[in-house]
Amino acid sequence: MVDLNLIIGGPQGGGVESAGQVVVKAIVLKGFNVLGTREYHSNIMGAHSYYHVRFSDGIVRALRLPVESIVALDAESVLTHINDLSERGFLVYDIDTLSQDATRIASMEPSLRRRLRNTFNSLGLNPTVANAIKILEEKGVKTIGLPLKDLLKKVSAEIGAPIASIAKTVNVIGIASSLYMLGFEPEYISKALELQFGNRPKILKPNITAASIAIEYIESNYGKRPILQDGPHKGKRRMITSGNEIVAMAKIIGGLSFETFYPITPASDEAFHIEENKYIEVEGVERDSIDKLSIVVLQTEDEISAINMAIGAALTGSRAATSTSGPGFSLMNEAISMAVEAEVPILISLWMRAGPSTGIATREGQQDLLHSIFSGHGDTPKIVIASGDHIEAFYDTLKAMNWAEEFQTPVIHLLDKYLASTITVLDEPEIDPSIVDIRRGKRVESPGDNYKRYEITEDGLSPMAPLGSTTMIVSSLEHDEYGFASEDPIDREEMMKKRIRKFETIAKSIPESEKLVLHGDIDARITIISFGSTKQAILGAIEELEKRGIKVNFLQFRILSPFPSSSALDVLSRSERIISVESNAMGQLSLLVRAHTGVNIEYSIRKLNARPLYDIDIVYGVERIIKDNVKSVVVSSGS
Amino acid sequence: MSLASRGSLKLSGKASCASCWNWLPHVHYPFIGYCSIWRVTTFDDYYCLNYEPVSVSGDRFYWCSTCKLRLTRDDAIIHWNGNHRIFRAAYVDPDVREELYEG
Repeated sequence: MVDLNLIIGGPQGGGVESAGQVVVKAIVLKGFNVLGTREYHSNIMGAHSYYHVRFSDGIVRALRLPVESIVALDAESVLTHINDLSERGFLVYDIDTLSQDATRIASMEPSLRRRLRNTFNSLGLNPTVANAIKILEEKGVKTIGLPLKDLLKKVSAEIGAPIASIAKTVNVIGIASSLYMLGFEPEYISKALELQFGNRPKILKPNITAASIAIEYIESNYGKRPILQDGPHKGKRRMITSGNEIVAMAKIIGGLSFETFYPITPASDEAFHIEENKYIEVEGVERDSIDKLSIVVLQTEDEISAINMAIGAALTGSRAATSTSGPGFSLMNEAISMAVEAEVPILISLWMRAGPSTGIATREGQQDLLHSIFSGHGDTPKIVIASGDHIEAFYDTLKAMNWAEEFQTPVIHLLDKYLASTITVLDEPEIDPSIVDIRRGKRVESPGDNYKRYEITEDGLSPMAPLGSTTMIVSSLEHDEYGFASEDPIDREEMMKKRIRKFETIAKSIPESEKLVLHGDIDARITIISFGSTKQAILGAIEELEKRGIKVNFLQFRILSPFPSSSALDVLSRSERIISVESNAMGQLSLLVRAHTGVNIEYSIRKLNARPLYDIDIVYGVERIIKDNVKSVVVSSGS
Repeated sequence: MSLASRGSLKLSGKASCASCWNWLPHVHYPFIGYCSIWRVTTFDDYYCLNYEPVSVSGDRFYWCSTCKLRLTRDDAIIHWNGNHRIFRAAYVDPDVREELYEG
């Protein structure tokens, strides 16, 4: 069984991202399943960032610490990840960093510097890379010092390219060394580099040379490495995708015609991906017409404008969406209220990140659940759906666009930073767009003169005509059936009842099986509840807990509004101990469950440090709850 | 143009690019840098006849590669006295944007 983790660390902007992507590609070519995520600082450039990859011949549900390999492209990476390395692991570092001292690394967080200084001082050492190496070696870790500058000179001499090009190969020297140590044949590294830089020969050549020089160095200094057996998926046609990309793909396939955004982490990459791929070939359509069929992707001046433009587009009959993160979503609140009042179909992809406020802009958090449900002033019922992984994110996007139009309502699709920046590999059958038909609800293309945009109906849904097809009024004001502003008490009451009836129709129309999913044995005495991207880590933890003789099931909430109260109560009433797992401090899901079912969730596992939730975090938390009978466990892993 | 063809660039001891006023160290990997005279990227142990030692005197901005910070003259003097590596400016690889994300 192969199950390995590695980290590539370095300065933000110093090649960590592309190094991580090359590693993921090499792993997929070798036939393994993989998960890789980037952790980066919000200062844009220079601060420490790292790429964490786990690969296996089995299912890879979550990242795991400690790791078997760390590639440290600078001194900060050695010191930051000193506790993340397994005793069986190895560290690849630059020998020129040996004298560097944590107290003099300006880009390092002062708190981390202080912690390192205290730890090293307690051992009678200064916090230098040389001492870190000493500590690691005493633990049994293998350390591989690369003469990075000399190796770069060798690359330069071999290909005669300007040193500016050679500078870009520092990361590749690191990862080639690590992959070779792990048992990857050089050809997988070269093929991965070709996939990454194939269309840029001036970059590809120095990188391939750098990889072979690095491997040559490792071989001559540490001996030839045993080959890692190929994984079970070698040679298969597979898809490597991030969360941002798969949501973008679903929007393209699902017939989106208008997407707005204002740049914000971790949402923007979704809109960029749509824009890069908006021209798709359609059978039977001339190439000249393709432009007319493409998607309009618009970067607006702010999020208020983004949502209002999307609302405008939706009213004209376009399938419209916007994507944002917590701070941008705050700005969208007034318009969400208007979309409920005016019954506008719009999808809002909400990529949560660590708040409150700007918080830690580039890190993980699940703190916008209540914000999304209660967004907008007045009574503003809406659909809120949360995706647990890449596959769910794909299908949920398709469904969310349908629901927005079928029920003429805002739909908020909850995603987060972890999903956004996590890369996985999928088999083609796992992504089948034909499973979800495009449904646009009750629409009238040629309404008569007496068209009532807000006609009172039994199910609360009025046939929708696009703006411009006849005379109609759409505004934020309360209105009569035609849309004309009205403060008449009967009109008001009827419209309030209509909107609530519509919400009841939504609740009845969406099958319970899509609202929540019970994973594991229904008779397990312990139930974990959660929502969103914690799913796979929880499933991984359940497998591990079962091996340790602890049976746990998992109730995953998929639709948070309308809330699946009775189905949830059915499951929760069977359980002896319910534990909520959430990356927020308030226990937002627990509050929601209590409000809708009356069930008080007594136990919780929380991750508050804005780092991804690992399966081992949950295993640790559940064991502490059982053995120490604590009510709440805060897990703190991650660098 | 390759370095070899420029003739006078050669490896040396202390009076190298690493302490030359005309040399801008790479923002992340300071053993590589950009020579503003030759207009090429070099390693920090290269040397040429245009060598001019770094000095902190004029009223301008400086770059501390130890701290990765841009400094005013007064701050640069403090860093200089603390044995930090001070330069005229830093070299930012134009492809660095490929690795960065919006905030």
